[in-house]
Amino acid sequence: MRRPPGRRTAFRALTETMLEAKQISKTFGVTRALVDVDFSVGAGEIVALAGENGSGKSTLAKIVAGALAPDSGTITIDGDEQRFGRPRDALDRGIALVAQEPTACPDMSIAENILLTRLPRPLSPFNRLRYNALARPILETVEVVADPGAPFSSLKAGDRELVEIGKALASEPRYVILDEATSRLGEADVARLFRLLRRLREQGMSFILITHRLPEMVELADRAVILRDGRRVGELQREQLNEEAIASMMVGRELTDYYHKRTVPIGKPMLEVRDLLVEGAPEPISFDVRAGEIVALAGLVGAGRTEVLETIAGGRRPHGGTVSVDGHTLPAGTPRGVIGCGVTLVPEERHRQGLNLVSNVRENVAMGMWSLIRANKRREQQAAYQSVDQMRIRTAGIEAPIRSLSGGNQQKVVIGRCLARDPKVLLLDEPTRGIDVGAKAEVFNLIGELVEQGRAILLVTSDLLEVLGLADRILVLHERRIVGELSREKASEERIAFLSGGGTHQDAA
Amino acid sequence: MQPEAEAQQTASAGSGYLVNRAQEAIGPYIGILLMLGALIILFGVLQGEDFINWDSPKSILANNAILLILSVGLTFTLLVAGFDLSIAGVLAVSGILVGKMLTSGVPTYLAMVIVLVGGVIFGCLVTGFAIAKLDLNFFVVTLGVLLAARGVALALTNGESKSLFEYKSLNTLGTGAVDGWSYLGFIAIGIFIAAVLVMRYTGFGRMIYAVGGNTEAARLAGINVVWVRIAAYGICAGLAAFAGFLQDGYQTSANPDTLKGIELTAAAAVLVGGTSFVGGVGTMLGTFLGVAFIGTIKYGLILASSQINQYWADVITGGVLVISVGIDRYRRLRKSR
Repeated sequence: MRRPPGRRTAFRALTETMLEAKQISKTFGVTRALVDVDFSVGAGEIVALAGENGSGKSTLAKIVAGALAPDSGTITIDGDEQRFGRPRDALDRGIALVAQEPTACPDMSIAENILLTRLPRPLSPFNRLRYNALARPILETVEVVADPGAPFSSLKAGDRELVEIGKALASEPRYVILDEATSRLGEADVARLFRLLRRLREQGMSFILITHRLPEMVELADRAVILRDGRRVGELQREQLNEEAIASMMVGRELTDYYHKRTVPIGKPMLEVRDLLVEGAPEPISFDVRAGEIVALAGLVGAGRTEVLETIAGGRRPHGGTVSVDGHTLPAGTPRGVIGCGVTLVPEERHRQGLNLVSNVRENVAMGMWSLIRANKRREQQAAYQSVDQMRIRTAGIEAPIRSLSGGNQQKVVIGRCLARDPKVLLLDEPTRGIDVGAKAEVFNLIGELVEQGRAILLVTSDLLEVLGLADRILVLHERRIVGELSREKASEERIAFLSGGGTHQDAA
Repeated sequence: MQPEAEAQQTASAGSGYLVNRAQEAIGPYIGILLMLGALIILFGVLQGEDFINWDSPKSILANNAILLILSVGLTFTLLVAGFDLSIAGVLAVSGILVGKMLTSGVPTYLAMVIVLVGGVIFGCLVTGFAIAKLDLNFFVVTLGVLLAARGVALALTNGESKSLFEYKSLNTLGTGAVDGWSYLGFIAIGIFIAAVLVMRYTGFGRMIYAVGGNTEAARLAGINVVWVRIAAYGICAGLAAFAGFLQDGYQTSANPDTLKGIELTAAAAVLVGGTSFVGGVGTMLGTFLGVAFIGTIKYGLILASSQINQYWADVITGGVLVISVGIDRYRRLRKSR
């Protein structure tokens, strides 16, 4: 960033350790989130922090960024010990965090969001135009074309994530922590982000990369540090980095059958979508999902996949067309009616759409089986026990608060609720988002069992390997239209990416 | 990338850009401006010259100056995603204390400074501290303070009001006017303008929006979230205490029961003006328009009292509150598509 003109500072020595965390420990109540963890990042290095959910990655990230104070341990920058615990201190020493949850103020301008770390002191004047001017070069750096004075909420989804990165860059950091920065991005925006990270790395900036997507680590990281249950279990250098190695260190065992599609006889059409006109779509769509079949809807973020699922599930009202299950036409725009016909949805946003977060496991499973007059606690308990058994939910009991469960187990509770209604068709929207490798494998297993029982599954996932590994058939959406259908045999990552990006069949051949 | 950016810039410079900007600037106020306009036309048609003359704004401003001051204070707390139910209680205690101080010989302006500073300190150390630092729910805390403060005001006076008729400077401040424009109005407008400047042109103002818009983001950006929220409650309580002083002058007495329920009228004004309960959304100008709206209804209906029962004012305010929030929601929904 601040290099002398005409000089390249591209290849700085990677060896000198700059930011070092030593013997970091942190306990929450009885949970030991981190135990004596060592971690370091050098200048111009991208270090991946890998681990299952609950392994302590985000806790470590927050401690390094000063958002959380450690119980013990030290953090040093160039050998100077830091006393962290306040974000301001870390920012002043050149450490910036791009947090897992979106952290924008949607009603402030793009410039104000970017420069949030550099607002004037409380009693000092604020000059809108100067801030807009300051934000402009940062927007250029992150390759977002937008008026810095416009409200943040006017940005497109992909741009928002990049603006969040711009916000981190605004504090002129030397170290940037990216906590699941790609989890809300489509493939094209991920590529844009990676280009940016590589460029900044060449300028000597360092990154701590936290992601659930193993291929991203392999593609980008110089080194990966693996955490398991709050402890550091190992480190992989660039040449040792591959998905299997990371995954097996994360779970502590070899993962076989990671993507396992069982061979199941395909039956008669179960879900029939006919000329369904989803709100905002340019044309109606039609397709079938058969008994025992898994059909994946592929496409970029914003291609309209979730909208299709939510329209079928009754969460959105279609502008035309019909959906029928097992020969019965589904009522439109009423989730209650659709569930009654044997179709349930595992929604995309677990916390916002899937769970009552202040409640317990039992009530979350039983939600939807209540009658107005009388809640039957015995039946609720039965359903909850059955879900915990069948889904192998790791919980202290069916009365345990839902927040005490890890993300993967929370997701299993949502799926468990859907299965408690014994659906014929299951709609899964990003069922593995934000859950760890071990839990993913269990969800895949479960999907396998469900189709063996003759159910039909319509799946949306942003992970192409999941699409390829699980689906019998793949429908590719682009700008809310179905632009291609691929059989399991014909599908490949390149092919799907090509169609998702708006390519056409003729050009491909 | 580069040519694209340039194209965008040139497009931005065109007249379409200005129109967009103007739309953006007026957008949040369209609902309230339309309704205020409709109201003025309605009363203009009903009352003719009785309504359309300079006495109307003079009178509306004088009668709603205290409401404006309270509403400006309340806007601070709403913008940090909170609320302060206790303003009427703080106002009452402040009014009683001013009365007590004056009768025991404290000079008027010293009494004013004492309640103003006292109000800020109380808002920071009690309400603000409990909400921002101890993380207690703002509704519970300020409801408790409202009940307790009103109780203190009644207990201190045995429920009786006391005339402050002989305190000249207080009464001049509360009832005096230049050319029909009341001193109270000038004070309220001054406070309003100061608040606008603070919100738009100081770091503190932007921090208020950041904290209300996304508390976690503000914290991670190094903003002292606790202090910003405490300051918001301090300002709100300080303005309420100051309003208590002015109210003594306005009615030339210290009354422990004064302005009961004004916190809800002030809330209606702030909300009609487009400020949102979720925090980070809203402006002081909106609050001003909200107060103007409520003041105009009341004044107009008093003028028209031979034709319409003036108690309809609250019915109209209530209805308009819900409708204007509805309009705002519809506007946001359309924008987000």
